Amino acid sequence: MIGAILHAFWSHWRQNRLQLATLVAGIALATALWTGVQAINAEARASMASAADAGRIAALPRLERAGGTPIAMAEFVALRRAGIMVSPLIRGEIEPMPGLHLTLTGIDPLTAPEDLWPPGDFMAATTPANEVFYNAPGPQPPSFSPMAALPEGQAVADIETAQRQLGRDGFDALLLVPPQPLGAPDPLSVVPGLQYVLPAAATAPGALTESFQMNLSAFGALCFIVGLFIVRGTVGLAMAQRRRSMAVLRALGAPAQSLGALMLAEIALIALVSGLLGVVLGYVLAIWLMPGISVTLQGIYGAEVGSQVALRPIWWLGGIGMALAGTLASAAGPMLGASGRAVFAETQRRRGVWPALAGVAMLIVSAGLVIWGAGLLAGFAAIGTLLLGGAALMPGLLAGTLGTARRLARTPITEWTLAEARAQIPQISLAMTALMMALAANIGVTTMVGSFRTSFSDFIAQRLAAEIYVATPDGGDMLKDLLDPGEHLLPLRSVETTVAGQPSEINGIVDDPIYRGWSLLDGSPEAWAQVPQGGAIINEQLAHRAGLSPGDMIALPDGPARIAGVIADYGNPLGKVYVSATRLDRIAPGLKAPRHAIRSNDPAALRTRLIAGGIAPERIIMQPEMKAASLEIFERTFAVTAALNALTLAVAGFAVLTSLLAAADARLPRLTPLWAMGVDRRQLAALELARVTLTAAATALLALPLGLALSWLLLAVVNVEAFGWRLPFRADPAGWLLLIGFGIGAALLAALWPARRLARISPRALSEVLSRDG
Amino acid sequence: MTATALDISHLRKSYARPGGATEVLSDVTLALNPGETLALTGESGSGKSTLLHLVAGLDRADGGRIAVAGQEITALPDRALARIRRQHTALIFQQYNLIPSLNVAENLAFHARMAGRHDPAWVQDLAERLGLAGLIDRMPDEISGGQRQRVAIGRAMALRPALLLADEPTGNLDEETSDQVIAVMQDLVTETGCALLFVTHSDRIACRMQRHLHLRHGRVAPA
Repeated sequence: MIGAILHAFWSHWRQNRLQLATLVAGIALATALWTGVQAINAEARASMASAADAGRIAALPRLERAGGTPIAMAEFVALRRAGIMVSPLIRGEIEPMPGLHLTLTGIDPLTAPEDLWPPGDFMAATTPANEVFYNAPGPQPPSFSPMAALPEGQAVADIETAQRQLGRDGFDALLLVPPQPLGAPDPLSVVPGLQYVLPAAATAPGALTESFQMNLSAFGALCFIVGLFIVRGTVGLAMAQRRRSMAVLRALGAPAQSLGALMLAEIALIALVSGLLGVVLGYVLAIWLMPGISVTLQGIYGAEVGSQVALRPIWWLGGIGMALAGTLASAAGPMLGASGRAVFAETQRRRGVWPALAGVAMLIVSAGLVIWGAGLLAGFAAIGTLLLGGAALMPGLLAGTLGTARRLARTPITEWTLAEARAQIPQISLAMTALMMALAANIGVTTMVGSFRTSFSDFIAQRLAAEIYVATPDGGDMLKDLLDPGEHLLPLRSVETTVAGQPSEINGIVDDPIYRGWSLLDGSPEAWAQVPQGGAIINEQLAHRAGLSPGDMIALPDGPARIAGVIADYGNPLGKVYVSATRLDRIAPGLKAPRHAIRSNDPAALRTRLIAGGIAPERIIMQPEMKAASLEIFERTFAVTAALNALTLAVAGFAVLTSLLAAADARLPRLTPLWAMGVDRRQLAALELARVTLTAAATALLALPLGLALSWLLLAVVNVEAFGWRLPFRADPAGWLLLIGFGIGAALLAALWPARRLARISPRALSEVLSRDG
Repeated sequence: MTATALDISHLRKSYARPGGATEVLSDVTLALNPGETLALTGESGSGKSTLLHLVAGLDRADGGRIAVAGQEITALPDRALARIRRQHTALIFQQYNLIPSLNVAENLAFHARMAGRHDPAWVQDLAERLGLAGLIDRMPDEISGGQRQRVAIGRAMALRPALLLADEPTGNLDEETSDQVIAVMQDLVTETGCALLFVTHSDRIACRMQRHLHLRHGRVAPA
């Protein structure tokens, strides 16, 4: 019996090969997009984990001397004797063999915290003295031991060995080992001249890139859902066509349970084969996207991520699992209907009310998450519920829009086209929902990137107002002598510390009109004038994270300061405080400026003069070059979003194509009456194109408000949670129209093939439909 | 002089089948004047529907000549055939072939509107005479089979066609409904003066037409 049933099942696919191809393509596409994104995320996480291992030392609070001069052994001893738990650290570059460059870190295993990097072999080694552990390919230098746990290019040794290797005395920093004993004195009072530093600690890319990975996962999930729409639509049609065969099989004595189980096995087998195909496609996709993603992660967060993709079981096994689970979930409804366990008519009747109610409920949840939720996860949950709510409401709104348009129609053919478009919504709604979600995501992301681009350009124009920038590792003392009267030197100095509990950078600025051009997000127009009087301007990140606003007081290392204003500071994860240069001198006496900005009316002549004065040309950057370089980094950073946008639209277009192909045969009985009444085949094809275009246009119109709501969520909620700064919303009607055009174009392109087939169908085939159906 | 509504001479049609071509119609000749009704009977597969489809311009003949309302259609291109159907020929099928997305009123007026000959008063009159006045806002799937066939008849007659082609229009109806449908169709044909070519299996119905031809082995003969 089982063999006979399977034979009957298989005969369906043999007769409907295009349907089988659509099903396989849908599952494979969904799996490919999900797997590709997961492969990228797995790679990014692995790179980040490696970087985080290397950066664990930097994640500890530490003491350094302002100006970077070494800390003496006596000072370390004094602090230990005062009961302060500090551990010395030294770092530098070595070349133990020609061509082998390593970053050597020296630590003291006796005083270092137990979980200090590298966690395993080195800390457990009984006699690490005189031995350098490293990880690099090629021949092994003498007295160096390989250690796989280290990131490539890194070396670690006992602090004395490291000092010898580096040829330096003293320490670069003293790590503050948690927990510090209660009642321990302030280290700065024990050894004056030291300062607290919390540099890469909170700026470690891991936390920040999490938002990017969540974004990517959300995109993967969106594409997966779109792929499952294709699967559901195809399985639904196949099961509807099979219903008669199923009834016959049951009449011939096949138990419903057996039919259900065999259908389940059949769909699982198709899902497995298609899932494997999808995993392969996903791998190819990941390889294609990875270079762009690594540029994005580096551009936004400074996170180093390789551009290679390794085959990791976590994503390829996960991909196959998702293919199976997703296919079974999306096919369950149609399969249950086909096996006779669900009352189809009742289900149809319910569909009208419940999706709309669920849609409204999800939009309310989304709004609630925005109002009462906190954190990045709440932001993404708000986006998810917004998109799902929009998707659930879409068929009803689409029907309303087309119904309104129909009332305005004047000719019978226009009326028919709009009436058919409306009547076909249940058949095409899944594909159109996919198109709407893809378009909304496109509009949302493009608006966000566009807003970011405009804001960033304005920001760059303000911040890079000086005509020339010079790198001055020696402090730049000689620059003053090279300037003409009327040229201003602006030292760019900063010190890292903690302000209001946030890792921050204190910048000292001279009183110059250039800073007054920096627009304030909050504060009075006279805010900059208050800086020379001891006031402080802070960036938005610090204001957001510490809940500060103009008029509040903040504690700086030399005493309190009143916040005069808040400025935007895009693309920077750190908090920033701007104080006067004289105040910075009090905070970090003797701090040299590693860079200088110079105002000049003749920057070309100044550049020539600087080079003639002994400044190396590579240390001089002209303002236009710097702006161009900054904007180029920006464009490269967001280049990958264009690829992702195109991909989502392509998937949605494919969803439309598969739904049209799947429904092509079912369309004929609705078209042949027109043919019988004098509409020729070409006109019928044109009408079908018009129907799909009208439906896509109405869908695109509905996608616009959804996309704008999405962009608002990205700008005002997700961005603020992820980065600490809020971007102003910049309307881009031309861009939106273009995207709407792309969406309609994708649907039109998808409709071309079915329309061409219709235009070329034989009159006899149409006559047979007229006589048979109706 | 008024042209014949339908003039067929020496019509031939065959279909390619595995093992060679099968001739479905062989040297068929017949004519139909305005206001005349003709029943065409025959066994299943005798070529009745093929003949009807050739006359409607839905399929192409292999040889011979067909003229509808005085216009030779055999060699016309697709678009011109569609225009003839739109302007002069109306079809009624066993399966109704209503437009499912339009309501009864819209279905009734549709063909006439396409031809640019919509007469709202005539359509209203048709709806009342066909017993559809109370159903005009209903969708096709909300009315019975007999009512659907009345809508199909109303749609065809709203055009005031030169030639009405009916392909087993009562095949799905019970005897009583079938008789009602035939009666109203004949009344309307008489009133509008169009010619009716009625394909049926039933001799009982065929007897109600003015002329009755039988199709056997691809040739027509008086029944």
